[in-house]
Amino acid sequence: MSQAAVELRDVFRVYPAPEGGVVALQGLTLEVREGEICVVLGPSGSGKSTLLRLLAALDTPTAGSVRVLGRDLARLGRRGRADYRSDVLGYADQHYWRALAAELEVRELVGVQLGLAGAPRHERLGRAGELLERVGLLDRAQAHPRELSGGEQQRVAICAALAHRPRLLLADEPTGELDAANARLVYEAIAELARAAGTTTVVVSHDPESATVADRIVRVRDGRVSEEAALADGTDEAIVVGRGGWLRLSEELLRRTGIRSHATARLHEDGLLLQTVPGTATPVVPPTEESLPDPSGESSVVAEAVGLSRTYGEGAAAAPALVELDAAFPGGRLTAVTGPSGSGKTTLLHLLAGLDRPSSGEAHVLGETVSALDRDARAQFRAAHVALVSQETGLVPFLTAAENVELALALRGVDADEARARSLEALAAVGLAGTAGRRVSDLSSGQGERVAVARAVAGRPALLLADEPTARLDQANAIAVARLLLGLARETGAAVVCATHDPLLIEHADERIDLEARRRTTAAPNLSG
Amino acid sequence: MLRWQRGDVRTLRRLAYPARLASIRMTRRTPTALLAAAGVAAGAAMLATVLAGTVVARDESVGRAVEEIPAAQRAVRAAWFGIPALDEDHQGLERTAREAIADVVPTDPTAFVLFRESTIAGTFLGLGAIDGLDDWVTLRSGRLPRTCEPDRCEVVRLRGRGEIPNAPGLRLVEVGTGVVASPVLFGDFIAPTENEQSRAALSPSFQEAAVYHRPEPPPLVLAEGIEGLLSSPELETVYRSYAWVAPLEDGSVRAWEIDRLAGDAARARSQLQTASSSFELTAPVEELRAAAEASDVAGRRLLLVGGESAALLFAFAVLAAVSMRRDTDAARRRLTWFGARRWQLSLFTGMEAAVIAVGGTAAGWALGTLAGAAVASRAGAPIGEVLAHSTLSRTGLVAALAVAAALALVLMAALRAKPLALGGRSFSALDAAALGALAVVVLTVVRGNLDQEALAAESGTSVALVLLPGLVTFVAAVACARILRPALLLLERASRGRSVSLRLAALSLARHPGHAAVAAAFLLVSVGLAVFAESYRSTLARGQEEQAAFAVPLDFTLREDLTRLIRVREAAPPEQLATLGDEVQVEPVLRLSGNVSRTGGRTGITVLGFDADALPTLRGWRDDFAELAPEALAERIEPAGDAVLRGPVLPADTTELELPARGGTVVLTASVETPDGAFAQLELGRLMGGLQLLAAPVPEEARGGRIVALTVSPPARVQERGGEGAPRELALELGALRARTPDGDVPLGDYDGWLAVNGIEADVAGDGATITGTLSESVASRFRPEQPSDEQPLSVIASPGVAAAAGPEGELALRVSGEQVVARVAAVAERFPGAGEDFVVADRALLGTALNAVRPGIAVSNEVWLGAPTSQVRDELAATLSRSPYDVLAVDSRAELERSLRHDPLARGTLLTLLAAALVALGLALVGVLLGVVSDVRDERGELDDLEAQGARPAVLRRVVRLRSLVVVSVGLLGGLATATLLGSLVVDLVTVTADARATELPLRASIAWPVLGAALVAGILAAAALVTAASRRI
Repeated sequence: MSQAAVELRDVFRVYPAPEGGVVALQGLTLEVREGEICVVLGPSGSGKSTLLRLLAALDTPTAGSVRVLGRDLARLGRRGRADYRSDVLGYADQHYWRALAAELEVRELVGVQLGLAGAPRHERLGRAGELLERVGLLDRAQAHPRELSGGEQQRVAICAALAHRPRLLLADEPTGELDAANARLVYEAIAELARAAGTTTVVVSHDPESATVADRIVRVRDGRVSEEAALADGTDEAIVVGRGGWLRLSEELLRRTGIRSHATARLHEDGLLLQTVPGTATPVVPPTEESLPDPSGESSVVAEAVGLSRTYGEGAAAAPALVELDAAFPGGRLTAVTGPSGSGKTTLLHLLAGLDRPSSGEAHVLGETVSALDRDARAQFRAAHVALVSQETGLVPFLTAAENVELALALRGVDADEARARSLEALAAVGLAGTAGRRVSDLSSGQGERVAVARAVAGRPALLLADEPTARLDQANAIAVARLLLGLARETGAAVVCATHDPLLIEHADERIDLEARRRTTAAPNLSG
Repeated sequence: MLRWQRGDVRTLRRLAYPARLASIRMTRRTPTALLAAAGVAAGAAMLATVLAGTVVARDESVGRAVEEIPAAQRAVRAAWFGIPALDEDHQGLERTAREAIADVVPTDPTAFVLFRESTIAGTFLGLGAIDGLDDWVTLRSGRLPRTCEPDRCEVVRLRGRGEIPNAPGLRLVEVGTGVVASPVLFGDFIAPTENEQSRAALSPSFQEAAVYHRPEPPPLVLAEGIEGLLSSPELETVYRSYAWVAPLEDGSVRAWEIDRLAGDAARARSQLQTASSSFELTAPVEELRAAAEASDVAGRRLLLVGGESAALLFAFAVLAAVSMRRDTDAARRRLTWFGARRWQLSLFTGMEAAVIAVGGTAAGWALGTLAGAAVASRAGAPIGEVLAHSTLSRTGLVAALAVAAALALVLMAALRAKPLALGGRSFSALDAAALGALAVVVLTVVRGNLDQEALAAESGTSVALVLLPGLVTFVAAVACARILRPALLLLERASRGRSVSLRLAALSLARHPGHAAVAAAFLLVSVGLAVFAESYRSTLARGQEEQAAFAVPLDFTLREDLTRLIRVREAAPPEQLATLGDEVQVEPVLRLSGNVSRTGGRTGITVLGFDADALPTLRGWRDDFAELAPEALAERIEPAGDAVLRGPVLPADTTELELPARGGTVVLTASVETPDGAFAQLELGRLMGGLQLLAAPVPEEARGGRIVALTVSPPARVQERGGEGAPRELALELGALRARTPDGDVPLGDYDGWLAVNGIEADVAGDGATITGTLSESVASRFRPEQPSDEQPLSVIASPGVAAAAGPEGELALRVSGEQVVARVAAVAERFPGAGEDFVVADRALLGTALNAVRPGIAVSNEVWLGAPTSQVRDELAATLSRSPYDVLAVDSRAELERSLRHDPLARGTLLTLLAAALVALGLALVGVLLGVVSDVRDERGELDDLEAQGARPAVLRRVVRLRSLVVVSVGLLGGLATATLLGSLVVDLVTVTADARATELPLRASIAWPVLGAALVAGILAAAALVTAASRRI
């Protein structure tokens, strides 16, 4: 077995915040062997980005150690870190266009890192040609990034990250904004190039598809490694045992086993049996079922997608984000829209909200063909009937939570007194009654997320659209938000549509629309035909 | 060794690569960078244009100064005087002289020889010869001479009627008469053949006197060809002058050549005197140096514009950097991920900054050079030389490089600096810099006026002028940014409960106060400098009007021409002036020189008298001259009652004035004020002791006049003998004055109410009076009627300096022409149109009465001010005044003076440059507005999208962006106006130089041409609104 190329031991990273610090990583321990492709999965806010920043020596741990290929990154000086990034590291970003300077040709882009290292032009171009040939883009070597499709651009970005033959490749959501076909191509490119060069690779992703190229999968939750599986060995996914024997059981396992506050552990055959202590168990039924009213039978459809398609770009650069989707979103229900990154979840929400217009098909909300309205009418319609919780909350940091909610209500034409009452009510509903008067800048990101949800809820929309509303929340808060959205649907009869990766939210949903599956279904006849 | 070399090459490549990336980036994309470079180019073009324009203006100014040099001195002249020795032949001297002059000016000199008023061949005459006579003599009769040989030398007579030599060896043959076409050639060698005295024929008395003092000169004749004349043996031993004259014509001396010319002239003089001690070389070096000095002053003052342009440039660089920052940060982040070292990142950023700074500056300098060439071409200056001495000179190129380097540093620093965080309690480096700048401004102000002298002497004034606009605007910009954040927070609070758009705009501003602060600060700087440039331009332009109106208080001033010595009342008596028409305001003025006889009193003060009622009509009055309005001042000095001299009136047909008298040996003289306001002195005769009937004929002009005094004086013989001898006791009896008329004697009344002054006393009894006392030769004793000025002192408006010499009751002992009158300061004025620094102004009638009471005849109107109600009347009046009989007087026209000031090259250059600076600054302000909106829309895309997602209509979002821009523009505009006002008043107070770079007799007063400025600002605001509207449509 090869040596560990990456070793993180009991790594903590705490960012200062007014309320006493935000913990991004808490005791994370991870090893990646030399030449191994390790995929780190986890929801947004689980600490993946912090992990990458530590591995890139762009940040230092609050506690614990980070060693890469024998280097203790925390002990490197400024120059040492720069040397490390220059000589050892390759980096591919989710937002691949950030790595691609629009003014350079593809072959020049690939050679940037070599150029910075002082490589002569022929060496840069030679290496670029070699890599582009491997990913099937040699014929586009003289194109500019804008002339390439998203998948092609990401493959170029991968080539650029590997051009100087780094010993460690970090890829942050490398397919996050690509469709499935392109995502597959990118993963294949990473696997081929990394394996050919023996590069140790850490891929951070939401996307289960990434597992197809992994030697090992690691799941991260709440700043810790919660599970891992070495696929190359054919082993099952394993729960990680932390230093001192601590185990981190997923929320899903706890709920399914009914373990609540106490559990017993005893040896059982060649393993360990965990059981709930009598009297502390949680019923195995989904929590929504016990506290919320049932969905009121046959509800009317609030929103509907009819043959909805959206393609970005044109010609060779055209990237279909959504293909002929038919879906209905009934009132009083929480619908989870799932699918890997790039499957069109956000696009669907934007089309339903009228923030975008379909390439074909129609979006209906409350019987109105939103997609047929002009931009001004769509905005008015949104103000009256639709609320959207985006991934970027857009909250005003120096206003209080209540003022932010009131501002959104003012946009909807609600008068000041009523806005005040509704904002306090909504904030109480998301568990922020006590912080209504605090500035948003003083709140944690999770609290900010809840303020954004409260802002949407306070508008009492007929259709509430939420894009990854639990991405920055820990499990407990994620559940609270899920319950809130479900409650809203139940109480107001609104249709709540959430685009999410989060199993917790998916579990609370009344319905689930898997866009990837729908796409495959739509594509199949074409393929056969 | 080889390995080291490889490493070295690699290091070079690592150095070059980021620079290459940056240059590719800058050349292939980033419209923001292009906008930034365009702004830099505009500022640099302005600087270059100012530099070239200054040289053109200086050159024009020097050209004009050359024209103003008296023609007789407007040449480089080498002269040799004497009788040639054996080794001093004319050819040798000529060779030496021509070589010397060629080193000074490129013009080929004209040579002449002159035998000045000498006795030649037994005849007293002036004789000369010129090579190329026809260029210098205007023929009046006959023809011009053709040849000159000793046995027949043709000459032209320039003046004199006497004989000319006709002797063997010098046979002069007169073939014509003529006059010297220009005094340039002969200069002071010969008196002009035509002069102003010849024109004085209009005044027969003057002509008579002039002829009396100007005897007929000897003949002056000129021949063609020097060598021919010199070959005459008759002239071998005659003292002569050789001269070689290179006239300085228009354009023959350029502004940048004066120092060289002075040095060359000095060397040439030395060279000539080495060759022969009889050589002399003259050139109008001092006049040219004075012109150069004036143009230097103007050039230095334009450094204000240079400083302004530089300040604008740097402010724009900061704004551009802030606008580019997001994009550059992204590129730096990308390179960081690619493993770029810090120095490589710095190099990358530096290269980007350098591409914009150097590219923009180079393009701007080239444009400015082209503009300079256009200006030079329009002014008729040599384009190549103007550019070689301005933008393309070593200094100019170094300045351009320095500007580019400084801009690159500013851009780089602004691109790399932390985002602007102003408004907190912390004291930043920017605050410290602003305080430092404020200290420098205060020191500059404390240091005092940058007047003409200080500017001419330089002594650090250049630095002060360059820095002043930048420092003031920098301080204002930092202060604006400092207060903007709390103001924006207040605005945010005030917007609560208001319209959604206003609230969102307020929130947007409060959310990103740094961007708003930079944008507002830039607008403050650009608008401030634009308004300053325009207001300074209008201040200087208004100063020209005020200067003209101050010198000519109405529309025209008629005064005696000191080259002709014809008094105003002789050329234009009141009845003549009455023919000018009813519409023309005619104000007779009494102008005298006097002094105040008190301790610490002033000398050389102007004593001005004119009708008090006319004071409010003076065009040159400025409300900062006095605390009181002109009407109130007029009230203070106008006569309370009778303001005419009192005394018995002679009947209109009086032929003789008679006075019976008895007493000592004295001379009695009667002073009569004639009906037209002049004075006649009638000497009644000398009293020998017994009773006599003294009498004097009364001239026609005095008939109908008023007897205002009898002067008792010692006889002239006694005066001559005694000089300042002992006083003489006097006992004199006077009978009643009588006027003899064709109808018989008419008694003129008794002496009731008469006073005896200056050492004598009078006892009036019956028709007569007995006068006793002491006669002094130093004071004229008078017996006269009591006059209004005996009852109360003369009320005057006095300058502060004169008023300070007044007693506690405000009384002044004013001495005029050796006589003293008592005046009382009724009001104080800082300045008075038509008067100098120290003055007293009184009602003309009162002043005349007071002075003429003391010594009759010393105060007679000697100046006339004319006013025209309309421009048409003014033009007609100007035409009338240019003709006889007014053309023998000095006529000053306010409009003409104003026109002359306006056409001064330095003034015109300065005003044009200021106008151009204002326009460029306004243009840059618009570019700044556009940049600000574009970067706002780009940088706040996320927030705007969120608002739209919340239901805000696009129209609301556009309104938000527009309101935000409105706030920023309003802050910038108001701050700019305030800054311009502050800067304008500072500059006007500090730089006491007029538009044409002369010392200000009349202090400049900050003035704003509101119609021009208002129109420019409205146009700017409309353009900004259009730009904001267009840019916000992208939302």
